[in-house]
Amino acid sequence: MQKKGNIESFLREKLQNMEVAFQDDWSVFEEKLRYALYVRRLKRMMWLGTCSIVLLLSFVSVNVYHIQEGATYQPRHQSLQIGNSSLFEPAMYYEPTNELSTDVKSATFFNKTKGDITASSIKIRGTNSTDILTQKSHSVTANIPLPTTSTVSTKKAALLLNANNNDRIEEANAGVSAQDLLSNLEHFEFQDMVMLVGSDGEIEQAPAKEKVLKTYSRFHPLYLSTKNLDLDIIDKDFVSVHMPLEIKDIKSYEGPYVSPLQDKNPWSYALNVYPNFTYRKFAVDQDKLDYIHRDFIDAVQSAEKGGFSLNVGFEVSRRIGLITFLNSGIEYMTYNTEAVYNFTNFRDADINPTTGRIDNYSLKLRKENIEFTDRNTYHYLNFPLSISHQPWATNHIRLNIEVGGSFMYFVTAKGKTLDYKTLDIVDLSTRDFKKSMGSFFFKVGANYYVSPNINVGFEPTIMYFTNTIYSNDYPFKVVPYCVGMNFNIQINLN
Amino acid sequence: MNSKPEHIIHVDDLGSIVKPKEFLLGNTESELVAACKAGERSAQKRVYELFSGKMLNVCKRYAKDADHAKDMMHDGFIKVFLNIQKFREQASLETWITRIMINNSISDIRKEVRKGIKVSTDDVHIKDENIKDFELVCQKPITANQVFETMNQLPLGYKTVLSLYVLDGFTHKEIAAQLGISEGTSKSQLAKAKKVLAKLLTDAYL
Repeated sequence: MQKKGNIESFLREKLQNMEVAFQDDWSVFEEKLRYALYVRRLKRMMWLGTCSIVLLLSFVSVNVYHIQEGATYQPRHQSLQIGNSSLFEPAMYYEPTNELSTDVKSATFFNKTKGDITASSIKIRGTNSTDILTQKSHSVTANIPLPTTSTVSTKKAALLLNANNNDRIEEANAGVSAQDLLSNLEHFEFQDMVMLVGSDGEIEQAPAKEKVLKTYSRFHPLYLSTKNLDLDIIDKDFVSVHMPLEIKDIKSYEGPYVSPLQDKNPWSYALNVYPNFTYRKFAVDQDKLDYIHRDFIDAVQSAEKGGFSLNVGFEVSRRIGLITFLNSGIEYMTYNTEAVYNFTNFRDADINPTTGRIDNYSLKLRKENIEFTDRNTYHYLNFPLSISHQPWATNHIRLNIEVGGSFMYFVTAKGKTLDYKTLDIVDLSTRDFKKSMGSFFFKVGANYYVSPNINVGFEPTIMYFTNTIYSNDYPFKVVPYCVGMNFNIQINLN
Repeated sequence: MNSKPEHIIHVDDLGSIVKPKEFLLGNTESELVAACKAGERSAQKRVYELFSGKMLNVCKRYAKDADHAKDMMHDGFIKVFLNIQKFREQASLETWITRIMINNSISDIRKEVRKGIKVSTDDVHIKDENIKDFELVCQKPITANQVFETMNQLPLGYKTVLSLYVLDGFTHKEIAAQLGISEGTSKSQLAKAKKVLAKLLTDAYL
């Protein structure tokens, strides 16, 4: 009769002590391990990149503003009595018998506070609305609650303040701040003020008095009757200067602030110049210790850490939202590092000619102090692709968040360095490098617009490199992350 | 007499001048694990050299052939090194690696095992004489490799359940969870596997 569990004991006794054969296939396994680590790193970065893009797109979708030509809305009628006096008087610059009339589609109101009109209450109306800016130097009351607006002018506004007697002409150009306006307003009676809006560069560029005249002429009745004005903001309607003011619909613009310097074209082109300071860490690959001269190991880790690059390029941007852009282009990058070595060499390496490994060392009769300094420059062609979003802006300053990737084509390397085995001076141009590398980046920065076409900015950047240009036998591990700071100058070509 | 020229100094003689961070034999398991967690390749190599032979034997129990077993073993070690941070040293490193190896192997063949178990309807009828003869087999000088080769002749479902229960110490509940079968199926597969193996051994060596 079979003993209970007999075969189980038999199997355990035989198979759990089976002969173990030593597996001499580490190199084969190591390649698989390297690949698995690389894939894991890539998956993590893609996951991070995808999350960043999803977050950015979510943020953008909340703020995307579809610019619609000729948007219509139902006007509502309200009359506005400002105190006991009429808000408007016929402007003094044209014949009293001539009246300007218009359908005021909307008006800019200010959030009235008791007492003075505060600067924060003055806004300039945006698209598809008439900009009417009216104030009084003293307090204003209104019979109706006034909506707040958060608007920008989508076109340049020529703001003209005309003194009653023509002896005080104040003229403000596009982008005048509300505070500046306020500080001037108190010098004038309200009936002296009128704002003209439009994108007429001719008005802007003319001298002050001529501007006044040109502006007057543009409001000549003949002009008005033919409606031959190019006043984009008021959409060929005109400021109404009769009392009581018929206030049509008030349409609040609730979208993000768009700077008047923002280019509204769907495509824009720019030249970029930006120096960049990066920090990258090199570490000795522990598995390749036999390929590096022992006296050299510590020296090289301190010598090659980071550097400075200068990028010059051409950028193409496609507007995909009001303040969101898809960017691409081509850049020429020069990355500079200093190869600085100062160490003592005790021995010469005996290098195996077949394997390339250092099998042994021969002690020098006399130790040698090695001091070497040279600039190493690496040249790349960079092809970036990114999405940028400008969540905050004023007239001159814009915050920019950008995420994307790039393909970098290695062109050449120049300079000299020390060979890590023989410690001989080698020319970088004779070394083997891989031809390309990829990167993902994330930037948050700010740009200051000196003029509509020129801006300067700085952007802290984080980059991740999918690979390096160094060949597989390079005995150093380059940490694939780097942080840097871009200082850019951008010239808009539109 | 020292045959080396005096001016030649071997790397091993350098001592404290430059001491590379190589992993040396004799380090404790904790140090080995810590070095692996730090990503030191020499430590990983040491772990591989220490355990790859045994793990290959483990994988052979579940693989179709030798090449398949080697691939399973490599995949298992990759999982070991990718997840080494999760090792808490509550059990020995060998036990942890073995568990990973088994789980990895089972997940590789799970579908095939379940399919094999489902289609296996033959009720192996073992004569009592075969069971009695097995006691005689136990007295024969049969090597481990011979037993292993015989076991490899079993259908995949039998072999898998037999290995998991008898050799790797899984309970029927754990086997059921691993293979996606019921406990009852696991028990019946084990019973059949033992009977068939006993018959095969008896036929071969008696």
